[in-house]
Amino acid sequence: MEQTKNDRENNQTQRSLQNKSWKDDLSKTRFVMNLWLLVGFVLVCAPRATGIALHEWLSVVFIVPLVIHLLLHWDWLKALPKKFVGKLSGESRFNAIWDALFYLAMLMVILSGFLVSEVIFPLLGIPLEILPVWSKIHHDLGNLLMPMLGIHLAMHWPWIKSMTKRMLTKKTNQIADGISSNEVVK
Amino acid sequence: MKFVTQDWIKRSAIIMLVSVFFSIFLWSVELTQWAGLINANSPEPHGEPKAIGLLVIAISFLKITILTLVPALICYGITRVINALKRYVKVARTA
Repeated sequence: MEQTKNDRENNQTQRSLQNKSWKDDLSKTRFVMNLWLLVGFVLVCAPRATGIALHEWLSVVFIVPLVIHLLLHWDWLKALPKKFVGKLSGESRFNAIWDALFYLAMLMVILSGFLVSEVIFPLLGIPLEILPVWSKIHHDLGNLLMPMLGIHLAMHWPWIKSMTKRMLTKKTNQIADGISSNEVVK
Repeated sequence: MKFVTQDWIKRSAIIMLVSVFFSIFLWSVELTQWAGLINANSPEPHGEPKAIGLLVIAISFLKITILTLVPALICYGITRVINALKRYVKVARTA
């Protein structure tokens, strides 16, 4: 009887730990913010679907979750130079190089995007001569970002899988808690 | 949001400064011979905005899905093969 009570208490503690708001858990915050980043990325990558004007404004807004993504991995970024010179597994080394290339490619796409702007710059009254080279870079590198993201996601697949499980378990537990509290009320 | 807001002004400023530095470096591409060649040979600087239709929207998102998922699956497969090989070598060494 005593053991059952302890088990119940342990289960409740575990559930309350799991049911912590995503804002109180770094991994969950990363997961939620990454989801927003992914949604933003998909929308930004479809200028034909959104139209050029919305594509440009969305791209400007997209910088915010991108910066948040870097902020949430600040410790990793800070420790990387030391770790990279020292001991780092082959996979982590590849990951770091890939992330750096991804960042540079994204930067180039954003820069070229500003330089071929048809809506924002004219709206701000900034005269801009659109050079074909920037148009080509923006288009070609923009298309390259998608496979780059695919590889980035594949490299982090174990984390994505475990976090999705954790987030889904939380929801199931919340539903279970709701049912049990209703039973207590009855 | 405490993880995002933690020292965020200083950190965001660093990210922005590094990005601006690299952007200036990347901007210099415009001065290369390759850029000059493209500028000289392309009559139209930027494509006109296309009409938005349901099919265009569907194709756009299909393109993103394929271009992202296919490399992701290939990369995932390669990582699994590498990990399996590593495990095999480890077992063979200990045996």
